[in-house]
Amino acid sequence: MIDDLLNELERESSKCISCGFCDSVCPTYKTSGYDMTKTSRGRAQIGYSLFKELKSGNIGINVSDTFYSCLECHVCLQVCPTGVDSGRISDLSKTIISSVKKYEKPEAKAIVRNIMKYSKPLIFRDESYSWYDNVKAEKCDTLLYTGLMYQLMPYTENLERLRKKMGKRLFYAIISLAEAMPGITKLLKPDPSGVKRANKTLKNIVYALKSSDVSFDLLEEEEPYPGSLLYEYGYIVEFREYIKRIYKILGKYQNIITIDPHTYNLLKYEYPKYIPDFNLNVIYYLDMVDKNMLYKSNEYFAFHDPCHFQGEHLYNNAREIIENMGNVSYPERNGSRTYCCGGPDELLFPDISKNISAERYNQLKNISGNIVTSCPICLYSLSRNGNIKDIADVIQMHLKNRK
Amino acid sequence: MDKRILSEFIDAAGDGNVLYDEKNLFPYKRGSIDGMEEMPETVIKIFHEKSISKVMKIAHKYRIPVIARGGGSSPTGAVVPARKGIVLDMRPLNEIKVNIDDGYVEANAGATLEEVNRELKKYGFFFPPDPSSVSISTVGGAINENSGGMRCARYGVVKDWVLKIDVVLPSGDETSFGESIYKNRGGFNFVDLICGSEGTLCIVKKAYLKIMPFPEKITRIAGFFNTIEESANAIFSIRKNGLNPLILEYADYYGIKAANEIKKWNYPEAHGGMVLVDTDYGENYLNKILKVLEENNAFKIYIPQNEEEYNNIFEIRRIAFAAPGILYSGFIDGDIVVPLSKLRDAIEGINQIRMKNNVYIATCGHAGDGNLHPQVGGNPNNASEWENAKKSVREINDLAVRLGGSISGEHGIGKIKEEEFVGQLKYKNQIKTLEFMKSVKKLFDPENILNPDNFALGGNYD
Repeated sequence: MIDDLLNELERESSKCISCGFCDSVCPTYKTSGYDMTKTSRGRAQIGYSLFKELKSGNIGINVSDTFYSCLECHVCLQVCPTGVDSGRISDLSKTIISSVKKYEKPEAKAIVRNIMKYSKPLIFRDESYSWYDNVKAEKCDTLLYTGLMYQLMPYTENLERLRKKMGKRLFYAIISLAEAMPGITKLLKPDPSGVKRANKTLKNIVYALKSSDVSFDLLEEEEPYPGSLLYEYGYIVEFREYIKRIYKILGKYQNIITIDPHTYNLLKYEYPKYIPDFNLNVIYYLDMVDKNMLYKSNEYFAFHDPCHFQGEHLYNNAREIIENMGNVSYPERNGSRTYCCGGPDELLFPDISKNISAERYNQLKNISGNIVTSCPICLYSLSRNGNIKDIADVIQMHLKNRK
Repeated sequence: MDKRILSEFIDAAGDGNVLYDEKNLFPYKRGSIDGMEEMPETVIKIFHEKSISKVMKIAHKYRIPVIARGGGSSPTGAVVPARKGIVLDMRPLNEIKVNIDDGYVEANAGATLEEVNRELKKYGFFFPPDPSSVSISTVGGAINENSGGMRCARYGVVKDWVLKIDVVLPSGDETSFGESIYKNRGGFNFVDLICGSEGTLCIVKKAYLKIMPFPEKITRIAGFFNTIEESANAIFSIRKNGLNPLILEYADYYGIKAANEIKKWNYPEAHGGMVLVDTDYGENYLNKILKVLEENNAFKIYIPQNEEEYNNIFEIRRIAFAAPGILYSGFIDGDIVVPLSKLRDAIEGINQIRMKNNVYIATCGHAGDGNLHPQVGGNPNNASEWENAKKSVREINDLAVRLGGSISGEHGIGKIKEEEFVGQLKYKNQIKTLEFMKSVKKLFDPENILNPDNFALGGNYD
């Protein structure tokens, strides 16, 4: 595998002519204090150097932050005159780095250990399972698979608070402890208002589907995490092993309805690469929402395109749905050149993440105070600055039968 | 670098803004395209205007070479710290203040031209010079390189839009050149001297730039041609007929092919290339341009009907600039400029060099002002292929000089075109220029610490 990775890393990074056009769109450049090692040009240049070092037999300096800080929004690819995708370079480099033990990130290691042991990045508390109370699951060949993303966000919110409260040193001591004893994460409480909010959105998603006459089964407490962070942190060996386990559970169904862009893309585009007999119909829930049951109000919305809908794989139905419910405006950075919410950096680079989310929030706020998105990570990341709505909550308010 | 000196720099620029470990220095070892590289000893990030003078006083005291870097997009090695020393990263210094009443924008050296234009757009104004690196090219970099761009055929280059500059001299002393007024005869024109001085004379801290109201409506049109003769004639006719386009651009067959490959498009891979025109003079002028394209046998004409097509056509020209980068691990940037009447001879001459040397050359450029970018591809690790590429570039530059032009229209000389630059001066009997340049350099920078060796100022070319 390593040879294939190296070949692809060389192919991708050697095309970089260091023109810097990508720096102008890379959200982590300005927000990291113009750190040239945390920008897309830096990633391409350092990626090529990493390739050369590996070819010669050793990695010299630790360059892991360069690649772990990449948000993988892939907007760099849109402006690169030679077609370099620094997001892909980061993917490849993280996979290589994850095999060099001394350069692993301790937070990433702790999360990987949890996922492998508990099928979740953190151990959930009871309140995270209350959203499906009173929801009628039906034994059928369609599964509503949440991917646990909405449920996970209130925990990461509290993790960040903990990091600030404890200070870096103590926090990392605990992270190291969690790495050895993953069960310790059971002590982490979710943010109560975050849980309430996540449960409300999850209920609204269920309501939108039920109103559209969609039947589905639920895994409830048995629902596993899809493995997104294993993939995003470059733990491909673990990812391959893990998703085989998950596929055994999901494979009992024919149709999988996903509710967030990360899980949707992972199942639809990445799982098939690693599971030879993959045979699931992966659906995004908005595709099953009956547009005829929505009415168009006079409301004005600013819509934030999630990167995972506009980056590598284009998905435009979220835009169609929101445009069915009101007057929609998009910020200057939208569509394939959208500006990331900063969420993917929240666990490893909280300061950068915070700066990016503030920057994006202001871009949106300048258009309309009524900001909507369709991704749990974007929702939580942008909400740090003010009120943001999930598209499911807007759907709930625009059902004709509610009018 | 000596720890004692480092701590002086840290006092001057602030803790965390002085970088000296290998990982952080690495991204500063090269500019764009040229492939030339050298690691600096230290990088100092400039967040405050006052830090520049403090840093320069220390550098001057210890005779440490200094290079000011903006977006780092120079393709001539101008930002490569060939003598190691210090790179000043000016990018964080990027405050912008718009003064509509007096008709200028005040921008720090690290602000990109795109950021300047974003601010100006709020008031319906813009800064016309637009190098294709506008999104990353900084005010300081564009002034020091006297950058051009697409709109320069109509509006001139950067120097034509600079009213005043606040600078730090190599000694650390501060001064200003020019005034933030539209006319000024107060002394020699030092503003024009600094514009295009490639970072060898002083460090630009802030500039006061002239602005213009943004054109009301821009219409775009592109014609594709079967032969170079037809496209060159179309370009010439547009200029000759006084149609004064906003931009008049050219991309050859190889550039169009590269754009199709990267973007998975199907634009005609025309052997005579594409001529791209923007006009802001309304329907009447658009029809006149259309007529010229038709009269010169454009076999396909696009007048974009939606935003996507409008952007895609432009993107072809933008990608054409870097076309060899897709196929080759290295390429050499060409930047010739010739009299407008010789444009066809230049394009045809480049074509002959391509065939004679069996070398990859993708040519695009600002046809409206006679500035072409013949980009030559090759693999630097393949000695004969690379030598052939270098030889072809030399021949292209000779061609430009023989046609009454110059080896550089807007990218400058830097550290990779010095010999050819001196050759040009000799051919044109202008070698006195180099003598005067050296005298001016000594006047500004007697210790030779600002971007030493750049711009043919360091070597012996007799």
